[in-house]
Amino acid sequence: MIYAYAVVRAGCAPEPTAGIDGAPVELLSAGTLAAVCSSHPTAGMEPDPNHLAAHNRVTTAMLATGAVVPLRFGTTFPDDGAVREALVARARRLEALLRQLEGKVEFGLRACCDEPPAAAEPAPPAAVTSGTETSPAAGTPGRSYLESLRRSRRDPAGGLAAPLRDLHHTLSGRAAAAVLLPAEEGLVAAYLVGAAESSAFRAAVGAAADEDLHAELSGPWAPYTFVTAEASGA
Amino acid sequence: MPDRPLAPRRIEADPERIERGMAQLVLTVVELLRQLVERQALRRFEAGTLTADQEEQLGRALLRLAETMDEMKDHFDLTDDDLALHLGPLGDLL
Repeated sequence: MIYAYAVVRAGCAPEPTAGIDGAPVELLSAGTLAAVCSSHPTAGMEPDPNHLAAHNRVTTAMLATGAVVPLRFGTTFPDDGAVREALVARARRLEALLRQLEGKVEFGLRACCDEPPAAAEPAPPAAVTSGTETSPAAGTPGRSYLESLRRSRRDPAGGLAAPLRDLHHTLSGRAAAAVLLPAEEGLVAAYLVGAAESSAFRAAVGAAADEDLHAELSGPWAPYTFVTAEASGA
Repeated sequence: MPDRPLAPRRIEADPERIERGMAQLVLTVVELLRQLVERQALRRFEAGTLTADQEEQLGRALLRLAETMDEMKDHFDLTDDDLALHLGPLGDLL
């Protein structure tokens, strides 16, 4: 079985990294694309922590060689031929993704703030509440529901507490792309950042964090989140 | 590859779990309709052609619908992700 970690441009020279279970990592090329693979005697791959860590290690190491389209954990093919066929079949989209992700890395953010989250419905910006707007609380739950729908459609971060929303907006401004991830509470998001801007991005997170706002940045990762978002048409 | 697997999602045939599988299928369709209705209602709301009473009525109905949906999801222990239809290369339906 061939296990595939990522897709890169053909001809890039991978760092000699050990793959899952220490298997040597090699490139299988088709046209301008190449899959970063290792071969294994087993039929599938169990998602145990060591395997996941190895998958991440390989995709992260590939970041140094140029654009990387990381694959989900568990992408396997019966043999070399099947890998090449898959590359050829998806060549157009993969090349577009490689162009888009060139020189970019992903950062993950988890942030929460001590301030009580401004209920499920954040107070609308002051400018909006003047004039004919009825107060959302006063006996018009229907209208306030419509208002909250409208807010969340306009601004996906609209449901967050104000400091988190501001943080997300600031960071989105510094990123090539940003995705809010589903979270029970707080801000969980991924940002696609130019590798050259990584340290400025980190600094921006550091500057925003204070006693009341805890922010935890992880990365740089291969841009998993942005590959999935692209693949699902988002 | 980055696509979602193309294999269709199957309903569990195990009698113990068939109820949940059916609920998942039915709720997926209901959720799709609910979101379409919500989108359409929002368009009417934003167009500003509704009277205050109509807005209130519409909003309440949508709120009830959303709450009922949440209750059903709780009841069958389904998450939003369970109700997402993955259409392979076409992306997600919801």
